[in-house]
Amino acid sequence: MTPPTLMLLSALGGAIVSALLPARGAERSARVVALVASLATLGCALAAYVGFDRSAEADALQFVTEIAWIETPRIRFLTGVDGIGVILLLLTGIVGVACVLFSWNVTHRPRAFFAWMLLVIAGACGVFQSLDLVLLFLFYEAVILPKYFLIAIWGSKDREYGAMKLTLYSVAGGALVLLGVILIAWQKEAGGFSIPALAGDRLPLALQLWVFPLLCVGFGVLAGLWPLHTWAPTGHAAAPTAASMLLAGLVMKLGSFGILRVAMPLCADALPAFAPALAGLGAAGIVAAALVALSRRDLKLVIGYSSVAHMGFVLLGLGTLDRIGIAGAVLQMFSHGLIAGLLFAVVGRMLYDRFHTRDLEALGALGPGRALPAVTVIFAAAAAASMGMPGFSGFIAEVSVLLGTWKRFPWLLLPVGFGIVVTAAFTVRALQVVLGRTRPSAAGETPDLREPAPAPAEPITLAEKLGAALLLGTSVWAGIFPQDLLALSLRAIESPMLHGIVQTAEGLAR
Amino acid sequence: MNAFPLLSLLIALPLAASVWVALLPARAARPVALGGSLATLAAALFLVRFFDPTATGLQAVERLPWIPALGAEFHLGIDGIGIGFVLLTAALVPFVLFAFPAAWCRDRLTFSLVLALESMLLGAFVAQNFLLWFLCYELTLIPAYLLIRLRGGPGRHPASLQFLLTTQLGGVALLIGFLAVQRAAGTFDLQELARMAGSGTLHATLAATFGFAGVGTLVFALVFLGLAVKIPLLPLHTWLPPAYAEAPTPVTMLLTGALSKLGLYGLLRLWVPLFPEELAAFRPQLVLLASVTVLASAFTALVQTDLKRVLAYSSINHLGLCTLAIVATAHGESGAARAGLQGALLLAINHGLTAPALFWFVGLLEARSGGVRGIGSFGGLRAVAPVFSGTMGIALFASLGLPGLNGFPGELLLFSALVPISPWAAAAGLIGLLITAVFLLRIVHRVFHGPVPAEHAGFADLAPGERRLAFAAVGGMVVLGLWPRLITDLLVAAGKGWIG
Amino acid sequence: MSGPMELAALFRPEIALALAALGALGFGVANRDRRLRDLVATGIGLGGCGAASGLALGAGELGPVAAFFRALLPLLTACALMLIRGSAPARHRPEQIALMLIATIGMMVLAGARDLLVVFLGLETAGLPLVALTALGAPGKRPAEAALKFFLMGALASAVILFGMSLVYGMTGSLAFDALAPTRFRDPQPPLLLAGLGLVLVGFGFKVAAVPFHLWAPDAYAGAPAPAAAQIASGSKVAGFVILTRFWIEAAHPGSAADGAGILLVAVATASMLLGNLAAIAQQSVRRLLGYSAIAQGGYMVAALGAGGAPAAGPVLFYAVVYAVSVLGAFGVVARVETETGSDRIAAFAGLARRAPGSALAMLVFLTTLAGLPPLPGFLGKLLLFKSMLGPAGVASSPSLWLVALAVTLSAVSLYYYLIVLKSIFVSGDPPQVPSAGPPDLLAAGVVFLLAIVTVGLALAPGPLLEALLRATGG
Repeated sequence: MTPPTLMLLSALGGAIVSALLPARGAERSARVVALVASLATLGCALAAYVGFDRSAEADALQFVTEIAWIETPRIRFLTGVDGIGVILLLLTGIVGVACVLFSWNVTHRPRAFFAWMLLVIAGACGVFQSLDLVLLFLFYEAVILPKYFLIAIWGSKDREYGAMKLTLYSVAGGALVLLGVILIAWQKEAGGFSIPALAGDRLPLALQLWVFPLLCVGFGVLAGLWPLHTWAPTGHAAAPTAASMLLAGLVMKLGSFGILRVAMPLCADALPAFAPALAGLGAAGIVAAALVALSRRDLKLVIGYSSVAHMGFVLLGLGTLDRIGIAGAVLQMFSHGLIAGLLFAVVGRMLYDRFHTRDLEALGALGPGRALPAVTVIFAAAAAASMGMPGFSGFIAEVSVLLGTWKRFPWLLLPVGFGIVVTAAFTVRALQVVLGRTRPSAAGETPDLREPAPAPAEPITLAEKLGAALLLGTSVWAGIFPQDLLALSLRAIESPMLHGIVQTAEGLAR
Repeated sequence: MNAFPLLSLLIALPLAASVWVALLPARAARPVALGGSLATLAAALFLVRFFDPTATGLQAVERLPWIPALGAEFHLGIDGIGIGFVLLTAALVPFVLFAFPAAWCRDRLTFSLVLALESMLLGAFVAQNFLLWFLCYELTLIPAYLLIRLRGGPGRHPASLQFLLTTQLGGVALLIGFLAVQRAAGTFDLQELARMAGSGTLHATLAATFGFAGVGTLVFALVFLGLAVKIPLLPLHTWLPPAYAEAPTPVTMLLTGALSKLGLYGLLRLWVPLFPEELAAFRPQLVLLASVTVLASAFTALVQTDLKRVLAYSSINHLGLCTLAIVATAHGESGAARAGLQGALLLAINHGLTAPALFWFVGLLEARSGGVRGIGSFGGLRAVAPVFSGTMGIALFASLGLPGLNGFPGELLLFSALVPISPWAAAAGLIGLLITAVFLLRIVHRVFHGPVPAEHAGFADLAPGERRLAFAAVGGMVVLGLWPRLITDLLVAAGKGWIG
Repeated sequence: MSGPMELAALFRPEIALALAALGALGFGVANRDRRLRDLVATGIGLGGCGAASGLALGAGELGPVAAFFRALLPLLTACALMLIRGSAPARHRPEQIALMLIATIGMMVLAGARDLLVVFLGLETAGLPLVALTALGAPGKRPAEAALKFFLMGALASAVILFGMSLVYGMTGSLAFDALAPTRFRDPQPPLLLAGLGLVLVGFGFKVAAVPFHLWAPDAYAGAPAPAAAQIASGSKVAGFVILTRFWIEAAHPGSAADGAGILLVAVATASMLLGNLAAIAQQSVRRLLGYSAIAQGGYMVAALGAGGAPAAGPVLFYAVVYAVSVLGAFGVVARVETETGSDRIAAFAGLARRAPGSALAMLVFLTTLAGLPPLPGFLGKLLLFKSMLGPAGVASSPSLWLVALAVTLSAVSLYYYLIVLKSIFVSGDPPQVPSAGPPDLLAAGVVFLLAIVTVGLALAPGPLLEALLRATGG
């Protein structure tokens, strides 16, 4: 029983237990169960992270579990992690705990809420550790229904529309991936669906040229690939806090992970043809989403678009086909998972739950930062992290991606640089709102931190502070000591399963 | 001297104090903050004591691996270029803290931010690896932004926003430029890169990695762009006047005294050593740009009515002058280059004393008059508040460059280097100087002489605490004016590695 | 094998069912007390099914596929029978039971048939009782119209099949499956034979509700009483696919993908997939929705057969079983909601998660399986179906790629309408009018629970069933 498998089981177990709890005292028992389950998953993730053998002779894939499931076609419960998987499992554990902490105040049907939430976490665990293609797809799609219910039942304004749109986009993406999987299954009947095996013994190039776009676009929908991203801001805005954190923090990463784990290694020979498009669309996403975020008035929508912009970095990094660039993409997945979670937590739990508005003008007039100094600090830190400020995880990730971009697509740096500045602009715009009035005060008024505070709001609870500390602390840790994460990613990229990605690009460059 | 991590201590002290202040009760804020900044000053003085001015290369070096995958190290070191700025920063912050108005004395957040800013500034002045430098550079932005935002004047919202975004834009350009360098050379280490540039291999490696010869120029331009925003040079200077004017006075003191030097330092550490060929090739254009800055800022200062804006443009003028000296003389003949560099450094460091002092005085004017700081709003203060007028007058003259005060030696050295090399540039500088004299004297005339307006008849002179500060500042100006060797002795070996 | 005794031995399961039917009918006539009568009749019916199933398992003479399905079909009927209390009206329950048992006989015959005439017997025996059952539905559901459509369509289909059979007989001199195969691939292929085959196949399409004989399905699903509708949806469909598959593989024996008969099937399937999925989106009645979805699901399976040939047999049968189990369960939940609220409209399901969480969860399982969403077995089934649609490995043909793309797309679309129902169950706030309190139907609840367990079990361990079917069909 390896840590990753145990992690999956904890999340699943937590979901089942939560669903079966008695109705009496459900509020308390459900959240306690969820917290225990999520802490267990975090514990397992930490065990995997710490226990991962980083020495040079160690295998690339560790904690491998293999259980036979179906013989014909040969689909097995085959799981294991490489450096990248370990990093993303760690993210899953952290975001999971944070989500539970930020949902401590859920009173409407809490048992079902936490059950669905834990199912999403379980699904994500499953995707990140699956080494069997069909198993991966199974976990990937299994997340769709829980997502739908989380948004449709507990969401805010326009929740049913947002939920349906999000689900249909996810399903459409999944259908494309399924087509790709079927094509692979059809061609490679005998050997089974083991991803390392399929990466080594690849499809004929002609077939790869079809399968890669199918897989890449299919996974890309969930990853916020521009221009298929429009479900994300609406969906995230309509979702309840925990769901937005999960969606932006974790589920979008499933898409990009799918590209990295499935599409790219299995179709490595087709990559040189498609990588420029992938990188270009990533860059387009950075700029376009940032520009839209600048123009929106709904704070949650702003954050939603900022998620698309950040994911653009991931896709750009993947598209560079460069060791550092891809490592940067992985780091950005990790970093953005934390930051997006934090941003949605602040906007949803700290602000919306208390002030019942997400409109920038309205919030600006209320000046929540003055009544809740903890919000000021947390949001300022989150904003800094989101802008890619050094000292936080996003900076090193962006630097690595940009290093990769310099190597392959130097001309993309101009729009991307512009995108970074626009990102700073809309982030600061949001920060301004939290700090206080956006319109300049009347002349002659001496502004003072001790201005009369607005209507009393419920103070920030311990659970929220813990959740924020967890997310921020991890981001700072990763920002100041990124070497371990980078080394893990680089090792994984050089493993037999993934090194085809980089090789083909270098081979062609020569 | 790898034994005792003095430089790390220098960075850690204010940072620790910053955190500690935030956690303690409000009463303890001021004492702890002052204690922290004074301890940092002590450490800086200790550093100076053991600094060998004649040695080339870095001293007090600390080197630890940080992110090997990206070529980033935790590499600190001090040499002639950085020592002056370190000392300036360490000395300025206690001065600023003493200058805090009484209303702020329990404000933990402000103290904390100022100390954090100091820590990152010191980090930027001693970092020898670009990524580390950039980290400190960027991390100065948030405290500065918040300080302007939280307590500034009526226009603080757009001012702070513009400050943040424009500097961020510069930072992005800088980053992108250096990423190309890293890609080619495989390292972010500034010493290593300077060596490569000196032997000519950096340019060749860049061209080889990216496949076209103009890469060196492109990177040169990007890095320059990033730094030009910070210094600032025209036309990227528009963030500065609003920021200086709208920020609360103590913050402006910090901005002009220490933060503004970051751009100049960046020029000297990141740009000049790495791009000798491009610098030589584009020297005329760069000199023109700096000259335009010097002249235009001087003329603009002339027409300003807000005292703080006058001083802001004057700051731009001074920094532009330093930049002019650097671009005109660097990598040129060794005698002039040495003088130009030292002159620029000397001028910059002394500006770090006079400009904050001037802003402080204007701040006092503003506080006593209830928020007014127009140049024409005052008059005849010489009669009403003689000590104030006297000390502020001395500071104005120091800024002007009157011999005997601290502004003069730097200008002398600078022009002596500039005149033989680029007479036109020297002419522009002199014209700028002349205009500066005009507007500074105008301030003296308008504010101190003439009839006293009725509303300021009760203008209070300096209180005892303020008097101490004023005398300390003015005393420093006099001392440094008469004994400039106190600083120049430290700068003896500045730039020896790449001069000539 | 000759002689009436051997024949009787072969048909032991069917005979058991016939006896049970007669018993139920007789008891229904003889007794006055309605409740007792219903109870006993149900008991006899269940017992008969159980016996038939057991007997069929032991009878391996007809081959493993036949044995398996002859055992499965009575079990499906038994599950459908347990919904009897949900059948309104309450009259004629013994007759309903008897009819269901007789229909099962016909289905079992179909499961074992290897001769066209036997097939015809089975078709009629399975079809007519179902028509009669449909007519017994509640007045509000327009059962007469549904039954009439069902009957007419069935009659038309029968006529088409008979005509086709006659052509086949004329060209080959025999109606047995294995006699058909050699004649088929004589060069040149006799066109009349092809015509006959085509007609027969199209006629079979009626049974599986494929276009163009699909019109009866939505009405029948909507009009028939709950157990009958459940049986039509599950057992009848399974039987239809078993016979279609066997006929296709053993008799029609497909050759290359360009084979005309294959193309015919694919055309029929495409139309079914399109019509079924698109029409289901607009439905307000859950039963009709299930009816249209049945057309679509049938379409996937027919497409797999048509495009995939012999290797598709195992996946098709596996999917048929999964489908049957889940749709039966779905009907169980529908029956419950109908009993409580009197309507099967989507709005009537609102708030089901609150008042009957077990049924709601079970419905989640069933509809998710039908939608083909992981981790439930519908996904695996669809994966195998779609893969077999592509034909043998290495032989790429773009029409089959388009077919698979269409099928995957439509399958994704189908999630939408299943999700609408689930949305009503889980998301909607206000439940409809206070449900009429009645004694809880434990039998129905029990069978729904059982079917949900089976479905989940198939998700966790599909191996045994899949392996068995693949082996049995020589895959």
